[in-house]
Amino acid sequence: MDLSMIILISLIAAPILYFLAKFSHKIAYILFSFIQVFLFVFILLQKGIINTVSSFEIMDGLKLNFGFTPINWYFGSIIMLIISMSAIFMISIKKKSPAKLLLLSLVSTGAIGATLSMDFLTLVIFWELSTWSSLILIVLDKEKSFREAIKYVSVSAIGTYSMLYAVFYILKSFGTVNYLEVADKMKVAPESSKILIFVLFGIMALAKAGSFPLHIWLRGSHSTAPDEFSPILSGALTKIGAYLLFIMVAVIPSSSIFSWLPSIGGITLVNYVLAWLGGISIVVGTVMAIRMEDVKELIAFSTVSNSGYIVLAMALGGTYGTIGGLMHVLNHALASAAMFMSMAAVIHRTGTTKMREMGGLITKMPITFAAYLVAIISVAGIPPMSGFASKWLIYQQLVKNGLPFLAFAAFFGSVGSFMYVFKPLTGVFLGQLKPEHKNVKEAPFTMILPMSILTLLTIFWGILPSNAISFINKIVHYTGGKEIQLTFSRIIALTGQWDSVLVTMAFFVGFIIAFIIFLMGKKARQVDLMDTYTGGEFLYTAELYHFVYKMYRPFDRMFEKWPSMENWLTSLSYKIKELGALLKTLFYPKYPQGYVAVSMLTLLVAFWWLR
Amino acid sequence: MTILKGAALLILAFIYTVTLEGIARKITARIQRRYGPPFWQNFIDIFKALTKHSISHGFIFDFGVLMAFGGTIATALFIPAGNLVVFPGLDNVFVVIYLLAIGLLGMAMSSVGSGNPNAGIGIGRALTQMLGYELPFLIVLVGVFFKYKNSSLSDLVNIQIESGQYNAWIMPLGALVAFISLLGMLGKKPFDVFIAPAEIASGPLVEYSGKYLGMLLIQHSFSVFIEIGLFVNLFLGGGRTVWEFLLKFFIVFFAAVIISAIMPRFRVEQAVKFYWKWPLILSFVQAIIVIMATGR
Amino acid sequence: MNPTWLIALPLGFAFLGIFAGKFSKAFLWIASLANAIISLFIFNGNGVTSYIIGGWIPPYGINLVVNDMTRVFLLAVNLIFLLALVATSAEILKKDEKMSVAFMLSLAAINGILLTGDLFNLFVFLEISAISAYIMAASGKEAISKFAALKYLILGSIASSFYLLGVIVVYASTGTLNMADAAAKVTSLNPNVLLAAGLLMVVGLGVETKLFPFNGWAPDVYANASGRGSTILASVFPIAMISAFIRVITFVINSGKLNELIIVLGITTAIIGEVLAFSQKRMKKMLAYSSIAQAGVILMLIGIGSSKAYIGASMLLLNNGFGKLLLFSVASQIALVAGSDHFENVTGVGRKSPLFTLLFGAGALTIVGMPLFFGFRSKLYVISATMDKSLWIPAVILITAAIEVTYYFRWIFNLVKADAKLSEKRSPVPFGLALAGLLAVLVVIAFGIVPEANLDFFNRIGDLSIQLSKTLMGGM
Repeated sequence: MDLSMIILISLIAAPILYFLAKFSHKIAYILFSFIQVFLFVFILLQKGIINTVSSFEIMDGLKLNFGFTPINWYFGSIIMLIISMSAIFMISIKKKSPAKLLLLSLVSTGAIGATLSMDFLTLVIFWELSTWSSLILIVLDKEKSFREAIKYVSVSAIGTYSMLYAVFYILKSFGTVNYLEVADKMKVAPESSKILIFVLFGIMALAKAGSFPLHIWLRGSHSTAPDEFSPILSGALTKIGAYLLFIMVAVIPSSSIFSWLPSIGGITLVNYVLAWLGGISIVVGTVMAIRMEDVKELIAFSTVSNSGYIVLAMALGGTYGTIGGLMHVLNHALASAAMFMSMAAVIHRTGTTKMREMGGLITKMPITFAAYLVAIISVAGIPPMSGFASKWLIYQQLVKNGLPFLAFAAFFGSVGSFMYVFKPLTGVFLGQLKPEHKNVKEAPFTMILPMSILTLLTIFWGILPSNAISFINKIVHYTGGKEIQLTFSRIIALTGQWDSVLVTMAFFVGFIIAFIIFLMGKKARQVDLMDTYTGGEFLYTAELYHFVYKMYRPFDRMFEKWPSMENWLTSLSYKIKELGALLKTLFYPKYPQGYVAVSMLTLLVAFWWLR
Repeated sequence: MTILKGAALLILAFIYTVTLEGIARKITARIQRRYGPPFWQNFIDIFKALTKHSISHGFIFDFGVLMAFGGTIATALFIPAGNLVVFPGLDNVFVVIYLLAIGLLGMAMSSVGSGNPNAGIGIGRALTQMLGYELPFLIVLVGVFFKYKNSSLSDLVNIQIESGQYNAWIMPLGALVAFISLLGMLGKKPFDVFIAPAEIASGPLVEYSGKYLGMLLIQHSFSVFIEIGLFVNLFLGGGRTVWEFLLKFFIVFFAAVIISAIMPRFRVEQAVKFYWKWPLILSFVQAIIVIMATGR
Repeated sequence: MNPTWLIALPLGFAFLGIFAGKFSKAFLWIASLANAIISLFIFNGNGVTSYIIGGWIPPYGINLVVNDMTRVFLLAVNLIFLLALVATSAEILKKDEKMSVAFMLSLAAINGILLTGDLFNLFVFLEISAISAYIMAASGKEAISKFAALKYLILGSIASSFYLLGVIVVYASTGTLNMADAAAKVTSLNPNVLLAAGLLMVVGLGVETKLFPFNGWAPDVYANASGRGSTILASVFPIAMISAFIRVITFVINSGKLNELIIVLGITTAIIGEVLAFSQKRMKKMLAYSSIAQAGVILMLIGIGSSKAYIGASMLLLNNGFGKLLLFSVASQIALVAGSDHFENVTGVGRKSPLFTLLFGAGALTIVGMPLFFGFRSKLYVISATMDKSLWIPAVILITAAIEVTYYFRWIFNLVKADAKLSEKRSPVPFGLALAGLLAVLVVIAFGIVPEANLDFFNRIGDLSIQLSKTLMGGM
């Protein structure tokens, strides 16, 4: 089937699903998930194919170009995996509406079009399509989302328009917007235009990936979006930013086009600045995530932090940085989608997002718990899950280039992630069960299924990261970079190697030893969760006996006086309004003599100036 | 062969660390002008605990203990002890550090799963403190790895032995920082607020009894072995033989015990602030010196 | 088909309507429907055709000129006018019959402005359209609309006299009023004389096209006129007025210096419009400032004057026409439903009646230029055209676009926001509004997604404008 047909199907499905949903929500949602799974499988089956389809003239001489290269295939499959899993997930969600389906289809169309694009204009068109539809989608459920989504609007507008400018600048200077042709022409372009293009693209990539200083929209938008949409927002849509970033640093190799700039630690200045932004967003995201009390806000900030990793890794470049960054895209997509899904499942059953209003749900929702557990182990980068492989590679690159300060940021995010991922674990799943949740059931099957798939994938690529890295190697090979040495289970990098299967085996051996010792001991007596050490007091109110609110209060106190980095947009909006008031008094006074005076004055000045 | 080596390492680690911990109790007691228990007291404690009745708070309470125990044992296998190396070349430091975390996560899950808030408070403090001590330690490691372009423990040991220069001499600041971090990792005073017995009833350990407590005591001694073993291998050149390694191990352990015996206790944010002040600055200084001296 | 009918029909009906009482409303429908059909016939064709009126051969007599640009604009104007009537058919105005006469007059005048090939004739039509616009402006319920209309009247009268003055200068120095003839003759004029004439005309037409700083009347008029009045003023009038601007300022006068001035003023208009729209608390006022900003961008493109710029300008004009048709008609209806169009009052209206959200959202998305909508395509042309002129202009345009996106989305969000204050009662969307609105939505989406080849008539506008501004206007 033709590639442009796929996108057309996806686009046409939007209104059809809308009208279908008017009749039956259930059928429309099921059909939607079928379409998404079909699209995912279609893209997945194109592995190894390289082709380009151009059709549909959008402006004179400019066509939409889609195609498959290893890069497009990789990002396209990841994003469609997340979207299709979320589509299955939302079959049993409570708040269904035709408008949501319409917008979701558009989001999906935009995401496919953007990741399968072969030129910058196609990319920006489809990206913007998915952006505006996701913008409206965000505000559909929750009242609070209104103020938050506005931030997303302006940040993405800043990003999109800087990219649009860059695209037309490229078109004017080079006469083409195709990735590879632009890459060729960039080599001989004047220095100032190289920097201009790179900065503008950088703004877009950072804005959409949710990286400092354009990360301010993530907290609000991700947390107040409809629960079933958050996995897509965090797992899929931010990854298009990583896609652009990869094109910037690897396809148009920024390291070579900026070779005339001074370099620090073997990294050109431009990349170094980008890496710092990534580093700062790791730290900011981590600190803020630790301080959150709302579980979705927490995961949103973890997205900031992980986007920071991706930006850092890709900006570092090199073999390990690039491959680590690409692998992190995959890992974080899986993990954050699984985290958001498991939380959505919990919210579906309990109806709250505040961690302190939940607790002890492990006995009620064990599979959801397992999905969350695997996801956080991956996010924290602990070995038998896939997250470790990417972080390990990123560290290799940091060590190789000898960058202690950036390494600090990376380590901060990694160790800090233990703190923030553990908080929902405690607050939601462990500890005392709230009396009102006594009758909570496990999430429905359609929610369990996608979570389990993501979980199994995380475990699979954790045990065999070489499998994932082998096709990332193909991408790197395609862009002309150096590949990583691999064996079946070992990954060999600068500072040695590690054997993922061996590590897993060791863990299981340890676990079996533990289990044997455990069985040898006397059987334990099962007691209630309230039957604990209380210093001799008798306590009966389970909901008060659950420690999670302000769990990291000591840490919190250290960062209380930090300047908030989230308000610059708000103050900018005040400034615009003030400017508006000024302009109004100057040029739009209440009485007509004012206008007439201004008009006459302009006429005279214009005549005097032009003659 | 690997299995035999692994078993030997685990048994050695268990016996040696538990003995040392017994000695440590003695030393501490003597510093505090007490008589102190005999040095085999810890063996008695562990075996007694394993045979006693216990209570369980549900699946995650059990599972977490198993995960903690399994994860820690798995990590211990990656620590070379002199010429007793189980996985030569594959004992990557990052693997060790992150694999250790799975034990910590299991422990945390299990104890919080007991439903006791004291455990939750303890875990919160432990994780916060971890953010304190890990950072300077890891920055120092960046310097080490950069210098040798190697992060395999056994390789690093071999390099140090061959050149005859321990990292502690080449990068004294780094070794100092790593030692201070080690105190935090071990949960020795002044960094033991997360298991403070009097304040939060031993924090994470509050709910354990019987075989659970026994397993966690064993797990703890393994993690002591891992942490000190890391330091010895990274900065003191490990050892040509097992005995050399054990001797160095003893020295480091002894120093840590002495220091902790005379220290009061930091609040957790004090501990973090402490680590982020001088140790962090020194670790950066060290890393930069190493990077400059080695040359990119 | 003879385009004279486009003017004569509504004009005749308007005369009849004065005496016809209640029938005048029916006349309005007949006239606009007929005009829409006639313009459809005229649209089917190409090339330049001149129609002589009254038997006098140009340049002495008056002629009507139909060219590729006029065809598109004629169709758009008459179609949007009809749709605007349908969309606002539920509104009940005071003295409805008399108002219908004004609407018919304006329809005649607008078609006249688009068609005429004569400078003085253009003035006449401008006056007629202005007078009917004053009446429309005063048609609001509140007393403030009368004051707004008065302001418009004052500024409009000054503008007409300036325009007339400009025409007089041209006539005095070239001896002709025919546009094509004048265009050929002004090249030999003293540049200062030409500049003076041009400037006077810029002021005159600037008031109607909402060029800064001559647009002081627009916000109040747009915000306070009746639903039908403001919809027509905001969607139909700009097309005609800017068409007049193109013909007079760039085709006839065509002075390089003047074009520079227009670029500067256009950009300023866009910036000021967007900044002010950003801070508005009333929906229709926001839309009014947004219209000003759109006009600024279009006029700036005309100042640039390349083929691409003309394509972009005409696309923007049409996009603005359909978009503002949607926005103003919905805003007026929402104001009726919610009692006022203040930000707080309209909160959640779209949640109760999703069709409002759909129509308003589609209008807003096409105005801000989101993909799938017509606005995005025109935005691509705008950036492309301005990029060829200078690197700074597209940067400024895009910054203002970012502001625009933000406030439009704020209004969309406000409409769908869950709000407790709102009563549970659904406010039904009038059938006319739904019908016309959905048609307009279909149009903007269709223009947004059809391949470029199907939009050839825009390219013809581009080609035409280049020929005309280089040589002379057809229709001798």
